Amino acid sequence: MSTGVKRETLIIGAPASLWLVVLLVIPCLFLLFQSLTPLSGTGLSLENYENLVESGTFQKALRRSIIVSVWVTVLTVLAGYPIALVASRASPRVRTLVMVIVIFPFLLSAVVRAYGWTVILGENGVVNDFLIGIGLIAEPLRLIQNTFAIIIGETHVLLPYMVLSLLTVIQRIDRNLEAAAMSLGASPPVIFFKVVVPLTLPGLLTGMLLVFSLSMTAFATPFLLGGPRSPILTVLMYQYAYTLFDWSKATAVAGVLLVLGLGFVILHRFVSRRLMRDAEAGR
Amino acid sequence: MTYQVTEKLWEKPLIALGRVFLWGSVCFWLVFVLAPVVVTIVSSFTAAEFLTFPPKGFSLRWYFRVMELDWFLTSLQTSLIVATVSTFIATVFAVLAARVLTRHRFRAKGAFEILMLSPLIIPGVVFGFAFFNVVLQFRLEGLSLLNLFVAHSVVTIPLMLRPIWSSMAGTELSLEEAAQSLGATPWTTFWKITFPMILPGIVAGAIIAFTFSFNDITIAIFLVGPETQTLPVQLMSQIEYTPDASPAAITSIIIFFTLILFFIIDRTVGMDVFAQK
Amino acid sequence: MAEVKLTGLSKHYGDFAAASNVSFDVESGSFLSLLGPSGCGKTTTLRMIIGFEQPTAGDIFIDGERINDIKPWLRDLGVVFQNYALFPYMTVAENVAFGLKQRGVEPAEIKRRASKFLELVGLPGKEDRFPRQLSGGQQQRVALARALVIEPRVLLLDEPLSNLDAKLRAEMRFELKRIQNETGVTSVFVTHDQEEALTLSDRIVVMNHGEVVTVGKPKEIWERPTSAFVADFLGVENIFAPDGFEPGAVVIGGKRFAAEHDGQGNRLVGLRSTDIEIGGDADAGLAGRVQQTSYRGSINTYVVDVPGIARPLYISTATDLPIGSNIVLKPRDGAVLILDPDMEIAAA
Repeated sequence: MSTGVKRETLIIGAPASLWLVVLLVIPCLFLLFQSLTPLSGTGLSLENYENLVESGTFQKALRRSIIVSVWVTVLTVLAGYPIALVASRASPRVRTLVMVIVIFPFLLSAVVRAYGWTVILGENGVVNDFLIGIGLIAEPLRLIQNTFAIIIGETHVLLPYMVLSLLTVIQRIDRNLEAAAMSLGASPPVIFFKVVVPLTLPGLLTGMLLVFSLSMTAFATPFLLGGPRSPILTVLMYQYAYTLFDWSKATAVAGVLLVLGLGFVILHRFVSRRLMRDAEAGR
Repeated sequence: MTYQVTEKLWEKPLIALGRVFLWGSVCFWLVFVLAPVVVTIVSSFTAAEFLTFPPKGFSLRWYFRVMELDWFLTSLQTSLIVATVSTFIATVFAVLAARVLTRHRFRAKGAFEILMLSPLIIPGVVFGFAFFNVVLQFRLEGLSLLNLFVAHSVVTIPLMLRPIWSSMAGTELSLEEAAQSLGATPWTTFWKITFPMILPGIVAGAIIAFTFSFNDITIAIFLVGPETQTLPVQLMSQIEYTPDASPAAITSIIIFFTLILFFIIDRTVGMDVFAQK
Repeated sequence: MAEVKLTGLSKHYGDFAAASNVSFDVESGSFLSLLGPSGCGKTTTLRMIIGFEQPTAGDIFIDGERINDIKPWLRDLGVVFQNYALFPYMTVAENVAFGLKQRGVEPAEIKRRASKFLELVGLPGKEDRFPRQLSGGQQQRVALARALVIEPRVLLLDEPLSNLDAKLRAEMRFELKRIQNETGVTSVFVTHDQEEALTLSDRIVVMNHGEVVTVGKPKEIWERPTSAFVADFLGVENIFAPDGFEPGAVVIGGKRFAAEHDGQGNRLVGLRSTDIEIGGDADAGLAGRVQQTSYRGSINTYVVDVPGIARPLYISTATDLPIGSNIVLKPRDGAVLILDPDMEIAAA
């Protein structure tokens, strides 16, 4: 095989490569470069990052990002596992129905979802009306424009990712294993916990990583449901950039997010490769 | 001596309990998934001045009302233009990239693949800011429509690439070779043989890219100008000041069209296109 | 009708030689098979003729014209692929018409010719079917019609029968021979199946490790394989090193048997299991003891231990021989094959 790039490959591959390098890679590198060049001094330094890390606003936003992502990960597991299990074992019709319901929101705009949650969780929303109606509370609860609303909204957005990642591993389980366990005298609960659950762990782990990282870097839903007073990192970056015009802080947050995003992708690749190798070795 | 499996009495209620718990939680979460959609659609049919749930009375008045809203009609037009143009640009690049990935061999192929998927690796909001930053540097804020075309075409390339790539990989090389052996030039071969084979992938990819662009806030929020508000951005700012049910009607209209596109995907390539990330 | 000539054709991928110095001629109107195990370079050679691979060295001539630099779509060759490669969303008629359309033939003539060739391959009236509605054998026929309808200079077939089940394969073999006879098209056929090559071909090129091992008529190759590899590939069961050679004879297990050879000492001998006689004079033959038998109907195969030969011999005979019985055996006259040692002999 010749090692040089052929002319035809170059002609076909160059336009898309140039497009992405010029419009995506260079702008991002430029942003990183700016984050490393503080207004005060000359040359490269970590001054912007140091200032950022010391600021209380950043620390709060980082903490909020992590709290939200942990909750979202836990909730999507709690929701995703039963759904994936039912979807993989139910009759084709039930399965299709479940999948349509789970996957359809993939295509929905964040504004549409956020509006729906406002109707449900707002001050005059469904939940508050109901709770006041049954006399449990007198004043409406604040269920929106806070961290709680972000968690609910992000769980809604990211649930399909978890279901799909679990579904792939569950469907790959050899049904003969369960039959074998049964023939050896294992009862359904034993089969579930000793055979099915261990085999789904790789999908669970990669799904959790995926959901956690997407939640850490999500913007639209946290922006719409969290409001300006409960920003997570991405929203904080937007505020610095678009409302406060504090470029040194904005670029530094962007740098942090960029590193986080890349880090998760590398970790995800590493983990899924590792798991795949283990799975193959086990066979 | 032989051993016998003894049936444990406590297992039966446990199994039953497990079943109830399983189905119960599935139902709960499916309601959770559907709730915002259903509540929005149902309340859009209210006859009252203010949005309430459950709705008071039934009417289509808010649907007629939104058809007269200037901001809705202009921003809808902007969004449709942006989504169409950016999808078209991304389609061309994604087809070329898929071709390179399936039919060519070269050393930097791994790097090429990562580059093509990089818009998925870089957080959308960071790309939006980075692009906005460059736009400001070159004082191109005025060209916001063009900026939207370009930025959306960048982020939708990998979304389109996946289905096109897999449909192209599923097209046997020997089909193209057969066509060439029969006298078809590479150009004819592409349009007569390859293109029809990857068309379902292109359709699915285009729908995903179109809806992404049409729905996007994360990137558009940095790039919209006063004259070029996209529908989601405009809707977002209008919702705060609109206590009536017109946002619900608009949202329901969007949901309805999204549903149609969703079923087109299901019919053409199936829902598996959503499965990989 | 055209003749094909390959001279010193090679294809290297880095250090790996997929084909090296391949040379042979295909006479106009004849049927030539490229025979060999997978990875022997036969498909690479075929793909270089078609133009899908660019040779690293050597030339390809069709009717004296060097075609190395001609694009595949201008070579005017008909190709039948292993997986048929029928265009799935085109009907049978559209598939067959494809090549004619590229040549600008007018619709009425396309229709006439397409149905003529569908008739030739035995599929009249199937014009409006889609490939998926046809059986494997029928798809194979469409692929053949599609390749022949353009009246190519040469027909190239890449293991076209290997995806069919045994019965259909035998049937298609005769069909292929009939169609080739009727059209008289020069054909190059790639296969790993010696039976296909023997029954179909005017000449056979046996390849191994990217090189041509031998070229010859089926009868020559079958009756007088020249090397251990060819003999083994054609199913000669017993290949081993003899004790030595004497003028006009070979010494096996201490006994002399008549055989023509060139006097070089490192040759191997080959013996078909069916070429071994049982019984006769104990002094002129080899003594052996039956180790295993396998029942195969009218003829049984026995594994026989012969002192003085490193590996047990396979013998096929209609005679019933119980395990453990002692027998006398000897090769039929002139049946000992003298072979070039181009292959490792597996230990017993």
